[in-house]
Amino acid sequence: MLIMILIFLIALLGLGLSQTHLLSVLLCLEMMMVSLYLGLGMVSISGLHYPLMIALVLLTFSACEASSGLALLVLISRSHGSDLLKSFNLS
Amino acid sequence: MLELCGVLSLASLLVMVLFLFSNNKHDFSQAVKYAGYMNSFLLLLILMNDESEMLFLKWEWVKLGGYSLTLSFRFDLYTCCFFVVGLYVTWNILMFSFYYMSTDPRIDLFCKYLGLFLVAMLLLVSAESLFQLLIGWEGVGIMSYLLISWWYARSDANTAALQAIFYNRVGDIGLIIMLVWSLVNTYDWTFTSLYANNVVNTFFLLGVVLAAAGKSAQLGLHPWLPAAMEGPTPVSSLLHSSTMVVAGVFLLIRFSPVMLTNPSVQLVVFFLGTMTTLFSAICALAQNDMKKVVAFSTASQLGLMVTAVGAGVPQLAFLHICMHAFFKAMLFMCSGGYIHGLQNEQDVRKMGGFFNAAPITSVCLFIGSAALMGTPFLAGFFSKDPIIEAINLGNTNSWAIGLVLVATSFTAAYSFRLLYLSLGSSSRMLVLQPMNEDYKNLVGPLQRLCYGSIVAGVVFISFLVPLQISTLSLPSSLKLAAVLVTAIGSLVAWDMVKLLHQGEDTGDVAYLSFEAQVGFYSLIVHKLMPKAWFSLGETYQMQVMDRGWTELALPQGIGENYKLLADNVNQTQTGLIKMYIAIMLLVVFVVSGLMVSF
Repeated sequence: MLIMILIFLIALLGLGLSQTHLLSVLLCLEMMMVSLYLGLGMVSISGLHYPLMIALVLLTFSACEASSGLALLVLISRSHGSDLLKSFNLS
Repeated sequence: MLELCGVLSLASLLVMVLFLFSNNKHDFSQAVKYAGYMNSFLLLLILMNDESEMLFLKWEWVKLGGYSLTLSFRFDLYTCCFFVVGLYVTWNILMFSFYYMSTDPRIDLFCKYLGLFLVAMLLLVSAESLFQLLIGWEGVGIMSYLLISWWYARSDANTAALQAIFYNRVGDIGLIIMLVWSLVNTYDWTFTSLYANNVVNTFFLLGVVLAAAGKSAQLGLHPWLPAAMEGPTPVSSLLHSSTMVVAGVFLLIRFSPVMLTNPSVQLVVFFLGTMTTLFSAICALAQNDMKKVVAFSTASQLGLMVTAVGAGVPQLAFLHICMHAFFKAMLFMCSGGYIHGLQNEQDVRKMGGFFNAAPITSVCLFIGSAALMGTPFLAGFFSKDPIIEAINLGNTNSWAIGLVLVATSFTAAYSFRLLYLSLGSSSRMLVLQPMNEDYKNLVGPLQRLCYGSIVAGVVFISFLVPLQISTLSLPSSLKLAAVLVTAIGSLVAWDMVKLLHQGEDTGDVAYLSFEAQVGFYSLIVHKLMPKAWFSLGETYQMQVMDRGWTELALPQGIGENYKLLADNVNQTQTGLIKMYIAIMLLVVFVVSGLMVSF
């Protein structure tokens, strides 16, 4: 279970310190979701609990979120011309 | 009997002072004349009276605790002689100024200033209380300022008057040192207590020497005297030849009984006098303005008087004061006559041939110069020759003797040059000059002072007997030293002047030489040194501080620091999404860290 926390943190770092593409941000987001799902799934390995139902809900919501993220990516790359992070400016 | 005469003399002076308030200058000049007669009568009576040597009159003025300021007068031989000489010369100069300043609308004020000066000077010489001496001293300084800047619209005159005040003030420091020291240590401000206690403190006496150097234009404090020739000729004749500048020497003579017991101060005075004599004589050789030649001549003779005090013969210094007053005032008056005749032309290079144009004035100039040179049996001889003999016989070194003899020969040289250029040689003035000496007020004073220059020596030597008996058996070379040196100086000058002024091509004029620039003293002290101090101050204050450290420390320095900080903070506010994502990450970590720690 601890390794899932580590994976989550690595993915978080990958999200925050992303360099060039927005797609890598989305990929890291997915990795965070996957690690959370796997963490929820590994709760029952010690043999005490049965697998939690909330894992499936998380997976569903992760899929919806990934698709909305891709839709945003498509919109952004239409308006900014590419998905390079350095061209995204508030002003 | 004697007291009555003293009171009479003071009363005549008081009447003279009262005449200052009248608006009629002729009344005042008559008052000066009769006051002069009364005072010479007093002198005669004091001399004939064998019992007492001097007379004191004292009036308490302000009572301070334990001591009171007094107005006390001391009529000894020095005072009475000076009164006679001073009043006689002042009377003549007043008459001369009626001629010289006749076209001046403020002539009444001029005569009042001269009268006020005379009162201050007489207060000075008759002072028994040192405070009264200070009053007279400051009074003559102020009147000198007012009279030098008589034509006050002229900037040179104002500069010269300020110069006179500054140099006199430097000397006044010495006088105040003397006053304060004598009050603190001897609790009394009179000459009698000074002689009785015989104070020989060096500091105190050096204050006196400084005061004398300031007032009598000794070397180091001398530039004001040639500059004071900016004033009208009567002023130069009265103040800066006969009366005011001898106040310093008079102070030295009054203090001489105590000064001569302190050998170091005596040495200082002696060398100051010899250096002044020679330096002024050198500078007089190169001057082209007639009045400046006579001014430097005055400075040289003042140096001789101070040398006499330093050599141990103050009575001869006083005798020289009296003789010098006669012929120097006359020399200035002759200059004034020439200047008026040439329509205010003072340059000797534009004079010449006056022996036929203005005979009386020229003869008086000649006699005055002869008396100045020490021609035997005229006035100057009876004081100059004994002084030089005393220096020769005294316990001094040969450097000082050499300086004095060289200065004497230079006296002859510049006098001869002046005579040649103004009386002799060919006429270099413009053709239609109104050279006229047919004025009673010019010729009268000149004649009277001329008689004085001729006979005063014989008359004064009969009662002003020196206290030290001069050696009657001298080798001929020492006895004739002064006369020989004078003769040599005049012959050499005659030759040189004829050489220079008969050639057609005069070549480059050496106006940047040592003697023509008065030893570069004015240049260094008046221009270079103040400029150095001011530029140092300006560089430090303006450039190092105002535009340097104060700018750098606070405005620029703090600004630089803020810029560094702002540069770093600036990166977070670029508007780029990348940064905001990273900040979000930071917040997550910070919050989780806080949660873990709590």
